[in-house]
Amino acid sequence: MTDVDVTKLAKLSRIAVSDEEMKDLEKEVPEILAFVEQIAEAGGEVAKETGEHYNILREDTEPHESSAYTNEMLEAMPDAKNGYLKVRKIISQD
Amino acid sequence: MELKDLTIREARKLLDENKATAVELVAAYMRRAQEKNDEFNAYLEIFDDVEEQAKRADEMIARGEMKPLTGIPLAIKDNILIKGCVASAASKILENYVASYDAHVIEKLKEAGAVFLGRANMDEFAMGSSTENSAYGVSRNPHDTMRIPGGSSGGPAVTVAGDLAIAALGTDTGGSIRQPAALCGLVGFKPTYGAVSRYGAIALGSSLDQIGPLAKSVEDAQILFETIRGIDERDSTSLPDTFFKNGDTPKKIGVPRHFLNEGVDEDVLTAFNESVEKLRVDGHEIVDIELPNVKYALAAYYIVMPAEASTNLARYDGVRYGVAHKGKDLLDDYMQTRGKGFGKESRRRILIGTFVLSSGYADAYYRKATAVREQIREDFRKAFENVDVIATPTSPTPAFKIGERASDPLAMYAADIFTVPINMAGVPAISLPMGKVERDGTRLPIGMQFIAPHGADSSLFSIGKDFERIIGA
Repeated sequence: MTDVDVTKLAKLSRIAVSDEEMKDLEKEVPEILAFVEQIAEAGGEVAKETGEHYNILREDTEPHESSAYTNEMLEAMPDAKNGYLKVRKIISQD
Repeated sequence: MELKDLTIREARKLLDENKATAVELVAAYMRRAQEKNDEFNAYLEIFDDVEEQAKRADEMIARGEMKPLTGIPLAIKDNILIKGCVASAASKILENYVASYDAHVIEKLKEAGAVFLGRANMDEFAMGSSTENSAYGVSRNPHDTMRIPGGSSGGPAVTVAGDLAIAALGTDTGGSIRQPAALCGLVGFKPTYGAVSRYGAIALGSSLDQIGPLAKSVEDAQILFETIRGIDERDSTSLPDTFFKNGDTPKKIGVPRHFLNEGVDEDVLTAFNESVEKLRVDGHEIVDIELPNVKYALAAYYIVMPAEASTNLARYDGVRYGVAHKGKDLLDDYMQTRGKGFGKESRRRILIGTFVLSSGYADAYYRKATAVREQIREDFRKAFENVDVIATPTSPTPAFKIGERASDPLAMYAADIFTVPINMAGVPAISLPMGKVERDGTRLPIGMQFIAPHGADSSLFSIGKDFERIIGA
């Protein structure tokens, strides 16, 4: 079974996990990975074709009127001030 | 007003012949919803502007401007944005999120004069097959309230099966429309990937997600699909009308027998075989087909989907919108917000997705899974050279009991065995009622799934109507 450092995964995923749940996850994550690892048995490659979907670019114009959604977006923010999103200070002196 | 078997077509007739107003029709559903929602937990919220919506619909009808859905009361899954309404995807992390714009499908339904009764329960971020992963409690199957309704569109399915709406919109990433439709005795349709714009649907697995209808009849599902479909420049994977074929009624039906041997309840398989026999007697040609790589579909899906989910859900960090939990520094803000905001299954899938995309593992997991996905697509392409549609059961079992699989993620994932290959291939599929099987003295619905080639969505409505006639007879 794949050796997985679940604590590290949780950190990479930016998710705080309680000690109790970590015990469950340390059992479940390797079990799920053991299940999906059966794809290793699948052989052969199929040439990647351009199917019905391809990269579509829109015209480089204004998709909507400027400031059309500003108020709605400001209202959705956890912390806003004077029309700006307020975020935590991340640069310190020391 | 008798709501039990009321279809969109019948309601349309009542409205157009002035036998009922939209206000009256909607009021009947509101009474039923208010009476039954505590028991079923189908709606997370019943909207307070329903009567105004119905009045606008009546005005459209009075002006002679009615369309097929004018005044028709619908339930909308909680991951589809309606401007000014909360859209939480049944997650704590979005419990306070008010949509700042309408999804493309909602714009279309508003133009058509449809009435939105409320937002319907689901598994959190559409991750699940039972609604047990909702942060707001499980929805209950109207056929047996001790059982799950299926998921993730379990809330929408219960609103329709329990007569709390005429029809509903859901989303389907790996079976999330078809499986609850099967388990609640409804028609559920997953369109060709790209047939319906995903603009304004909260993303789970972006290469798999499609919006589609849950309804009481094939015709109703078709009416809803015809209203919401169409190209949209805001979804770069949406397809032009010219891509879609007006297919003939399917005659030749392929059955992948090799795929039906394991994990299917005996009486479900018997009902499936009897249904296939009825199709043969009705004049359809039945042939065995091989889909050699489809046995890997579930495993490949549970790599691709968590990979996409972990990247899509990275945006919920408590900075710009949604719930924010403050920690001791910026990193801890993220850790606390996401740790408290996401439910258990979401956390599990984010971890799996993070792992399969991580350096040193991405080749063996994610890239291998996308190669397997190409093989599955190729299997379907080859099969459709010889047959018009493919038939399988929708779900290997009827509705299971609440709590029965909740602590075993892999048992829960197995519920999707027949539905995930379709999303991996991007082809359309429909689930139709296929009779009932008995469990603990209760008769529970099961579903038949028909699958068509890319763009042949309309042929599924043809075979679906045939099947309704055959099974109903």
